[in-house]
Amino acid sequence: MQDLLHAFPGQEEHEPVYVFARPYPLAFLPTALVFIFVFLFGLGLQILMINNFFTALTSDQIVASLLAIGLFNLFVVIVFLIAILDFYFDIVIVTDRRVVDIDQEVLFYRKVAELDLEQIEDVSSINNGFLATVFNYGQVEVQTAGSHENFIMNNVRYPREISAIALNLSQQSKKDIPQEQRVPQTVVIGVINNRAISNLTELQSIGAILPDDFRLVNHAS
Amino acid sequence: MSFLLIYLVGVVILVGFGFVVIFNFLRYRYQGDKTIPIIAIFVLLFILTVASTILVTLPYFSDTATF
Repeated sequence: MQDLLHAFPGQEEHEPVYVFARPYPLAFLPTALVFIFVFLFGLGLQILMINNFFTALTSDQIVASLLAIGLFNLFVVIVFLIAILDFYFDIVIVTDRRVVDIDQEVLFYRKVAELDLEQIEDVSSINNGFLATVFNYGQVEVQTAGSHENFIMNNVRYPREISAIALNLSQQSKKDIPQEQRVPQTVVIGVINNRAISNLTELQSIGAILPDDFRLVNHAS
Repeated sequence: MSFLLIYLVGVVILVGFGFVVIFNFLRYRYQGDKTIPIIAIFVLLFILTVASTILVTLPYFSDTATF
């Protein structure tokens, strides 16, 4: 089970995670298809060469080409791995007191930005495209007050639900409802690993909230 | 044979680069996420690609000794 109570640096004790979202894997499909095509193209060339398709080539030219294509395919494999992990390590976390946006941009660039719920001005969600509409994934944009830059979360599942959760928690924080009493008053109260959660017990069973949390005890009684 | 040597040097360089990539991402993984299975699949793919390339070129080395 994932340790959601230590999901990001600086997470406090009794800070439940309502949203822990990575990009939806289907959104990676076009990129994956390009890499698979390039890899299979190299493999196909190798097969053609060992079957003497290129008759004009001498045997040493064939060996040099086979090895060069082999190296190229290895390079493609590594770049594909980087692309997958870049995609996989973009994470959005919403707790009862903040929004955390973890952005893995390139291999050696990782940004972790935090925003207090009080600083949220508005939240919007966008489903753009056929696959995004059918499988309900898209973009969530959190507009912030003051000079903070907006948070943009791409390709997350249930964007409308995530924006509703963030907005509702933000409204609660602006009404000075204590942190330990904040629970999203929405139909879906959590989105954890692309799964919609609709009650606190389920949230506790996946480890996003402590069993002795005030909200859970209150909810049970 | 020099072609194979150049290839192996290339493989060693790419293995080094691969290790940098893998260790960089292992630092950020979460308990119970899918980082390890993803990396394992790619390591396997890498090994299979090297093995298949060497296997398809080996017959050419046995035919001629001048490479």
